[in-house]
Amino acid sequence: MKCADVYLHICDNLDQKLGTRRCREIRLHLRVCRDCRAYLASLKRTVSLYRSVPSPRLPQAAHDRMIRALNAHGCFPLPENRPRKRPVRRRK
Amino acid sequence: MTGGEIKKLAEGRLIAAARAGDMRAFSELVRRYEQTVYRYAFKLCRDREKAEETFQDTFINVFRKLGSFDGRSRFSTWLYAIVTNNCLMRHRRRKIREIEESLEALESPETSADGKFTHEIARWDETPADLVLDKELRAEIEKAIGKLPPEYRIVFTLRDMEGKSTEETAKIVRISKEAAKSRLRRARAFLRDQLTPYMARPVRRNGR
Repeated sequence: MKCADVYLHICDNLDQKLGTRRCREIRLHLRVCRDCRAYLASLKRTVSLYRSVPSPRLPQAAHDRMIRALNAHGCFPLPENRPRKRPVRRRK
Repeated sequence: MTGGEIKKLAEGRLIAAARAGDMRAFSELVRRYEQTVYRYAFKLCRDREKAEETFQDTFINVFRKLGSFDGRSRFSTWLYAIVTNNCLMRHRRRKIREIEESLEALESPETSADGKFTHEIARWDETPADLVLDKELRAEIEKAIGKLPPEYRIVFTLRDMEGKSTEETAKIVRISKEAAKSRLRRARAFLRDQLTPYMARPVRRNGR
């Protein structure tokens, strides 16, 4: 196994410890090749960084607009799915 | 069926009820999946407004097409495919050729006759594992994924962020398993290369 082969197949094995012949060959290569170890470490780091970026929760207003759009397309408005009215704030 | 009973229904029975026109069942399907759909749409669109439009279009499509869902694939696979398709439709008009060509180059890095890399592999291993996801790094990440063409971003998001298998990713995107693997490989390499100038620089601890 050469670095170029590892580059092509490393992705399949990023998070797995499979017992296939190719995986065994990749592991053997990684033991002796500093470049490929560095490459694999940086790929794993890339993935973990992207995973750590939080994604937003669905805003209530977006849910309400989706329900209104569904209603406009003929989906019968159910009580629990009706857009919630915003509470009216009384002036003090 | 009461509202409480519907909430406890197994997915298969819930879908069957929704297909038969039970609006409470459809409503429960929306409730179960709306966060997943919105978050996935956001990960693909990287923009709240576009994510909301995709999210809305997805549930309208689900409402219209639920009758044609045959249950051969999992409901979530079918749903992810609709979100993916809606996202791609939005991007189709964009010119992505230039970036795609640079991704082609990532398929075959330069190697010498003995199969070793001819370019130096940047070392990230000196970067502390507890590096905080500060504003600067987050901006780098956003910038890099924003540059990734949607076809690649979709596969990367499904495999590495949503935790889907290669098989399911291929089904959702309607490509072969080999194509899914190839796109994932290129996407990861592209994102890694984009972050390398930031990550391979002198050690920064806790974002300081």
